[in-house]
Amino acid sequence: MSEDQKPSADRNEAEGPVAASEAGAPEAAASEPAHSESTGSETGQSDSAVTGADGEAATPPPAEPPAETGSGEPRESLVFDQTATWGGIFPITLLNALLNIITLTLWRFWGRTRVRRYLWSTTTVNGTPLEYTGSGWELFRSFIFVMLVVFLPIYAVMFAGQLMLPPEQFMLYFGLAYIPILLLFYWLLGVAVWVARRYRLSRTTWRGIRLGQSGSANAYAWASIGYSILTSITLGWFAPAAEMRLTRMLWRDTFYGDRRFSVPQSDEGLAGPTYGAFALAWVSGLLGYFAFIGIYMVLMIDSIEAGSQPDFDIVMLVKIYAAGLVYLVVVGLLSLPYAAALLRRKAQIVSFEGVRFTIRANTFSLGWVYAVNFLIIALTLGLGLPIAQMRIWRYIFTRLEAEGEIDIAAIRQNADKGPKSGEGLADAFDIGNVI
Amino acid sequence: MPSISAMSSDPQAIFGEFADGDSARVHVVEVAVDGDRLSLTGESLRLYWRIKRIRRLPNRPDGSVVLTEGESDARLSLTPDNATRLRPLLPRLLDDRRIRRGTWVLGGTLTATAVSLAAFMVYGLPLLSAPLAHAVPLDVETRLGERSNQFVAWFTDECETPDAAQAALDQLGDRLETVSQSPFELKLRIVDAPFPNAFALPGGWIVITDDLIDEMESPDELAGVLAHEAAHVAQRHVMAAQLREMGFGVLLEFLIGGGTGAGQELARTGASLESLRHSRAAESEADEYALAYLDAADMNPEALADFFDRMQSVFEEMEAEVEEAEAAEDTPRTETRQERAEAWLRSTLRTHPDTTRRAETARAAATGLDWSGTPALSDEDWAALGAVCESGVRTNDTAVERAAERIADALNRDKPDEDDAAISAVDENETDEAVDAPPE
Repeated sequence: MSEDQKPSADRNEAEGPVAASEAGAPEAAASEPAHSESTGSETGQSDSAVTGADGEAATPPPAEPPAETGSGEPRESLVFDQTATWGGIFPITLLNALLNIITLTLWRFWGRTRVRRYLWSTTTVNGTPLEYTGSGWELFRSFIFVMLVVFLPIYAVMFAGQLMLPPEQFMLYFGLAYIPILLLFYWLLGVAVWVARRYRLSRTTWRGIRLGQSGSANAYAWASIGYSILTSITLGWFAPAAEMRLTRMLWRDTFYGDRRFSVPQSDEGLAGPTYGAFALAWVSGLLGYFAFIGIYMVLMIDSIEAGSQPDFDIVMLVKIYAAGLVYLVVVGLLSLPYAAALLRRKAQIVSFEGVRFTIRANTFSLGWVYAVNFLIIALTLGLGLPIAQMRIWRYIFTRLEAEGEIDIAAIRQNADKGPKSGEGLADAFDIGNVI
Repeated sequence: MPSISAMSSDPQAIFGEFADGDSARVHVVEVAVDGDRLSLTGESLRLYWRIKRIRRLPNRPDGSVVLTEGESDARLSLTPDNATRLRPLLPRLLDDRRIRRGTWVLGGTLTATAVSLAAFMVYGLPLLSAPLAHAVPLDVETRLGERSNQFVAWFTDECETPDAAQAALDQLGDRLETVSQSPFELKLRIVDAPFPNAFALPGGWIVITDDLIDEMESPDELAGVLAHEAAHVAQRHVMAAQLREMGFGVLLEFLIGGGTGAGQELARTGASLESLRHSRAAESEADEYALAYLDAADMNPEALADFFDRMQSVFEEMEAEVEEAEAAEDTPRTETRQERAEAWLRSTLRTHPDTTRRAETARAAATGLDWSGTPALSDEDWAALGAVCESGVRTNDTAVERAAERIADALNRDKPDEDDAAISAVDENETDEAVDAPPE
């Protein structure tokens, strides 16, 4: 838990002027990142995760002091609403299911785009819906690109290695290459998460103004690798801090138009409020694990006493799987308070132009959403995924509340148009489907 | 310029909400067609969009129509009522049928792409794999073979093979190597495994289980089985299978991505059925070659058929069921649909062609062949082979030791990681050919 309390000085130093401006006047942190970054991102605009990762922390300098000139329009508070319905998502789900089957899943890029378009357009802020401007073609192109440029070379090197290395030393080389390959894999995974989020934000507009993300995929990927290592060293206890720090990192670099979202200045105490719920999940996970091992031993006791190999007949296997399922359900239920706490905390640490956010998430309502979603996905063999996504989306946006007023009309366009193509890397890792 | 309030009194006036794409402000504008332009008039703005450059975006869920000009960020949205009033003025742009047609064209194109890719995987790759396998340099296949052999050693215990027995084996191997003109030296090994089987690895390795030797009643039968495996080696079937699976795997990943949805699983299942079909074709080819080798080496050509016959009797009942189902295909009987489906599945899932048919084919082909009557091995040699594994097993490791070693590896990742290697060995072996695979 102490990990969470430790201030991470290094990152704040790197933050430089922006951290200062956030400290001074969080409400007026209207630097113009988009403009200063646009040259860099236009030329080096990443069609791929690989090049995208190179743009080292593009922290925009604060532009001229925020203009005092308001738009003259009345300041508005923000009211969110989500009006998606089963009736609206079902035809999309059905069409996607059919077309995914007959196109041997090639339709998935266009299908996902349709689902997003529906979810975005049923989400309104002050009565105006969000618009999703991405296209299936962008997602498809990006996937093909990543396959050809990232994965094909990796496969080729691995295969050539198998053939070229002398058999006696193969194992040695394999062992030596293991850690770098593992690192590369996790690095790519982090880059994929970052790049996919950037794509989705840049394809989201409200009142004709884009969201966007600056910063560096490389920095994010290394941070998530570092936090994963800390999490395993601390037997999982760093997990909430890791989650919240990564969240902070992403939102610190998130824009609506020319305005940056604000997050707390340091990582200190970021995950504090989630630790009680996390402890419950952690302890129940551990106890449940021991209970499962105990049950397994009892089931196996006969063959263990006989000193023979365990005899896995079908009845035994069913019993073991049933025990495993009970374990997962119990631990899943006891992890719900943590999931709800994370959601609440994430909304709490983000603010925009002085407006603070709240998500009224709680254990029971979230548990209901998850439980029904589990059934939907299981009973439709995964084809009902869009319905499950809609339910999560609806849960978040009907429970999202904002406090404070903004001069919305004074916000200008984000000059960064975002990447030219979509989340190929994320699709290759099968994480592209997170709505 | 009339004011908004004056315009709104006109029942035919068309209003929309306009965001200019530069500031996050929404303006109410009156929309009118003015020659080849669309005019947007609001309280504090008036601008024109050239109709040719106007692009229609997908409708909002409430039926509102959304328009933009070129690639700009500006948006004009019209509620269904207003859109209805604008439709006669912009008939082409607001024609809903064009959107639906777009979906059909896209769906059709993607289906055609998917079908041609699948057709290439099913028909093109197998045609390419045999010539490609022959083009693989011999030393590359030799290396692959040594690696596969290592993996097999990981999973099985080597039988303690007395010198006399190994000499007998090698003698058979040498003769088959000569007649098959194999590009590789045939290296025969006996391993301790609880099932009768024999399989060829890349690069000339042939692995025989001790249970298979126990099943044999004469050295001629062993020669028949080995001739079959020698055919796999000489024809480079294992290499072809590996190339085919690799190409198939890469293309499949391209098609379905890393996904785990129902569609993806369906495609994977189809792919594994497809691979079974091809290994059966290779088995038939190996049977044909085996007879030619037996003939050339002056070994009993009927022994292969004898062996198949005996294997056949082991699972006679199951086979009978399948035969029945096959017969039922022409003359519909009282069999339920489910029984037929099961029978079809069973016959589809077998890697090897129907054993009865194989025995018949082998016997028919053997009748025309001469054989001097000399057994493939002398009695002493055959007896020596029978003693293999009885005298003991040269354990590579016991199962417990192997498990302990794996745990040690997992804890000490700097050391070679045999855990993962073992997994890839399983994958590799799946493509290896086996002369018989009685489901036990």
